Amino acid sequence: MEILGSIQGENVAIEGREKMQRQMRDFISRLQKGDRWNSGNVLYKVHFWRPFFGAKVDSLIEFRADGQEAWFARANGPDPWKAFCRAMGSLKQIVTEMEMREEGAGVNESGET
Amino acid sequence: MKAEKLEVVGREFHERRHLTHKRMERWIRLQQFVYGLPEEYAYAVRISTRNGRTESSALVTVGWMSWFGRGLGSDRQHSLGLALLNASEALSANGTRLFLHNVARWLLSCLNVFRPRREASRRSELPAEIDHTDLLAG
Repeated sequence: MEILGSIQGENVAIEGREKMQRQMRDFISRLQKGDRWNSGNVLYKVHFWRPFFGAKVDSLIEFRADGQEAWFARANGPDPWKAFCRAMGSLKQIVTEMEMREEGAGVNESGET
Repeated sequence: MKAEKLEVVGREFHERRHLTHKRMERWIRLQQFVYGLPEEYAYAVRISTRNGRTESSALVTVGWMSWFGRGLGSDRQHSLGLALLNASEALSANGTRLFLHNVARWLLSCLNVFRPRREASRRSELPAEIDHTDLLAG
């Protein structure tokens, strides 16, 4: 498996790149363990910028897996790390929602899986 | 070189992602305007194509409210549109309650004119003591 990624900031100083990279790799490995991504190549991009109006920082996270899967999240926050946490939290919540629905679909009427 | 290769592979699939972001942004701004929600927002979208069918999931969080929708369609924009439609249906189901909540809040603010302005403005913000690293758990 090959993971290529970049973390960019547009007029924003980014601290804690290693923490962000670790979170991204954890998320990718979680999806691959759950057999959601069977592809060999995963590309991710994290982008931060500060809008013209407003004091908050916007963050954008994108994952691409072989052109078949696209996951992206966007959030704002008072600093890059908090904006990143909120976007990543949304992605993890989607995974949790999907897992809960799959578990619910696997349960029959008598409540057995 | 490898990044360029991946870019070419995914270009066709992802060519309209800017349109998707623009669409989500407009949708969020509309909800913020209509319901008086705070500035904080977050959204996540998953689009997957398998066996010729496109499935999408969208999770939108604005302030203290959160919606989740799923869509299945023939192409990306159609499936994403369905996911957003499902999310907005959940919103309209809560719309009456939210409207009454806003009316009650407005009436309270009219009655309680002596409340310091700073406290009133604080109520529309998310609590500052949220630990953002908690969001990464799970």
